[in-house]
Amino acid sequence: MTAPIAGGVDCDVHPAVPHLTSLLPYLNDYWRDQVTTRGMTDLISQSYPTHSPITSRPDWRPAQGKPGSNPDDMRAQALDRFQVSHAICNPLYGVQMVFSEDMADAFCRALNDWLAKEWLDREPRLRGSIVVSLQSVEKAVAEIERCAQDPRFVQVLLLVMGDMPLGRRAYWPIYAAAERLGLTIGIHAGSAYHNPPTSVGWGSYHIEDYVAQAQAFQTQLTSLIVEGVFARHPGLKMVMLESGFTWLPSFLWRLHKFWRGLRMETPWVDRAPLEIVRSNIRFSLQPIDAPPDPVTLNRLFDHMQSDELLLFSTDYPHWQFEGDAVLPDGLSDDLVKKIMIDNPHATYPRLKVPVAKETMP
Amino acid sequence: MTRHVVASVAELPPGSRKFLTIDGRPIAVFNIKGEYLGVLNRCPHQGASLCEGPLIGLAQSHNPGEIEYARQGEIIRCPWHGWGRSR
Amino acid sequence: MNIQVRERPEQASPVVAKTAIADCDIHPARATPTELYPWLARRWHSHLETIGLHAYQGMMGGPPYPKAQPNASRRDAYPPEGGPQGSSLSFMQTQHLDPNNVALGVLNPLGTGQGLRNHELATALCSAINDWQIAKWTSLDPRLKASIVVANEDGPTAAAEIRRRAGDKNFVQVLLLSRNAEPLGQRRYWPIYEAAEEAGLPVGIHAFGYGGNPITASGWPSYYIEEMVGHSQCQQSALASLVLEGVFERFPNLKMIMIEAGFGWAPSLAWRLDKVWQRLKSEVPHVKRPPSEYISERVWWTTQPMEDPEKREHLLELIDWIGWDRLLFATDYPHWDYDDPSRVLPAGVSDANREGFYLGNALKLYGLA
Repeated sequence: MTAPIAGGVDCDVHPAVPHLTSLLPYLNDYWRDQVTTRGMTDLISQSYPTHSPITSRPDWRPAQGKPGSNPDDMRAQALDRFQVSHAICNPLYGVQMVFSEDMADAFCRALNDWLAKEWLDREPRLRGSIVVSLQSVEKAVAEIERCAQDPRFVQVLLLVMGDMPLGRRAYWPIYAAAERLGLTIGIHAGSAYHNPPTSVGWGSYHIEDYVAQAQAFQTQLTSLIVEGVFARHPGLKMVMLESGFTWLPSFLWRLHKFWRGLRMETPWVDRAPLEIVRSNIRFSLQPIDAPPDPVTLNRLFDHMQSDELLLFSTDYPHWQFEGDAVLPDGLSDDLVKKIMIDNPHATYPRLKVPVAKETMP
Repeated sequence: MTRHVVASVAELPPGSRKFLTIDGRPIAVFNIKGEYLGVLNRCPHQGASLCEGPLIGLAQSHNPGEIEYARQGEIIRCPWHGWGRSR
Repeated sequence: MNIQVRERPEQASPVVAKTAIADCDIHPARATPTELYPWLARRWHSHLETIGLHAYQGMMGGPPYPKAQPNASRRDAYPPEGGPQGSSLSFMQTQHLDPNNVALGVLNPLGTGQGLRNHELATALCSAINDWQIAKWTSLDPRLKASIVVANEDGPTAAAEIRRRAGDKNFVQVLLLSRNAEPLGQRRYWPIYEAAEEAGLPVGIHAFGYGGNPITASGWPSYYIEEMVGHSQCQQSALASLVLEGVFERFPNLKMIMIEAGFGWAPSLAWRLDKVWQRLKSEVPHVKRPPSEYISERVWWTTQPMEDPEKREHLLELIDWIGWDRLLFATDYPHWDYDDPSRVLPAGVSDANREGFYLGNALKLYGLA
């Protein structure tokens, strides 16, 4: 087992909203009444059923309440255990599934306020992602600008399975805002379920939806690259969160081959896809969809042709590894330091901004 | 250098091309806007008959959604994988 | 004039390649819109001329993502006698089968009755296509073998067509497309697998098709390149469905071929399936073994479009992980992203692996060895 080193950045932890009522203090009177009088209870996505094995490692599952809902548990089980200097919170709450753009916006604002007050304020190692819903790009940009004033927010969080491919120009004001404000874009596994959750329709099973996340990351990466997002925003960094990464080399070979022959359709793609990925795209470490043989995984690292792509993560409290075996076998000390410390800091410039404990505006 | 008579001027108007074989090598001769050019009819990628492709221009863009299309008729697009070859 | 000039280039001199190959993905085309009429009931003639095909996509003719070349085919593949690329047997022989020494050519007709919303029409067209393959192709050139094309969304009727053709040596497989109304593992398609297994025929899953679903899990992309790259993801989802619905368990002799979506994605998909299955197998008790075991025993891949990494040794490693015996060479003739057999495999491949890659694996799989 490769031992993790102290001082790393955990780039994917999931604080859980205990219940929709947890957000009531952060909603205005109208929305508070909507929630209570219309009998809305919770916004749990099928992507992570509370009691699914993938949603929580058994030793991280509390006796009561949702996994990841207790800050003390997160401290003990993730932050202290892996001795990280920072951890980035990516709340997975089903706000994106809601169809009404006003309702979605109200819930996102409440969720972001809840995160700041009940997590970031209580634990100085934590940083946050601004959750936005894409039903209204205008509202999403406004929410980004609002939350960005708090330097503890380092990222904008989007889901990998949404309403449209993420490279589409309608979304570009979000990317412009993020680049302008020094925020990274985080694209996380999960679906809004506004489209079938595979490339070929609605599968039958939860396991099928989960496997399909990797294919969704692939098509999103194609979209982001060929639509020219990084030609327009060369300084913008995007992180694929809980995506897996062992599919990356063969995916890039295929994209590169077609790009060479089909350039006339997207002439603004000014660099080879592999170069764009090297400069602008990163991947959180867990889950590692690893081959049974560690030698093969090291060959795969060679196929990736860059040691800057991976960012340490536990994916707490999701069940991706056993015990302390968060890092794959056979990694060199150099690579461990890159994955745990150097690469995350290079990707999240806001980590360096000093923070005083402050509340959201 | 050996000279080969390929065609009369009237037989090769602008935009047209003719195929020939010289010393066993497949060649195409183009009239690109009044200029005559000979090209080996073999794509460096996978050996396709490059010169059967369409003559197109060069599409460039400095801003996604805006395309500057220049040099129309001066680029041969390989009929297989679409690699372009300019004069 | 001391040089002979031509309007068209002379075809490559008929030097026959030394190594015989199998081409497991050839696309024959109809020369005219009415070429199928002899095998279609009269009722459908006027239907096609008025209402048309009525597919799970909006265009009356042509695809929603325009192709890279007309008919998605090589411009140098137009037959001299006229007609679209791939519509002339004699020209296919001259341009492709003879010089490339194709000992076995598997026909995968596209633009058939598959992906149509009128299932009766779909059934009629598929049956006609199957008759046409024999009359115009396989009965005239013994190197060519046909695929049983079936109305994919109508399981029982598709199964009947398979049973009708079973035992006919013109056919070596059943053909489906990767994009359907539902993921291919689902039970509405099980009658097809049952009939194919009964007939001892593998099922080929070819890229494309329309089932009315957006081609990504996040909606419809903008560009043709996204559709082309996206066949990899569609095939992955189709294979994941087949595994997780227990199709390989339910039909223990069924074999499948992933056609025209590349193969580079196969190892990482198998690793991911295994990992998630370890975690979530309680949900799918009918999947009794690790997914990678089913895949390594029952699935083959055609090679085109061949992965093309900068470092060619990475390709060889990738194939080691999949297994040299799982790949079936294909050119995709006459499509534009054609792979030339003499160019695709780097140096450093053993004779045994090379032979299997180009011919042996296909002969064995199709029972022609």
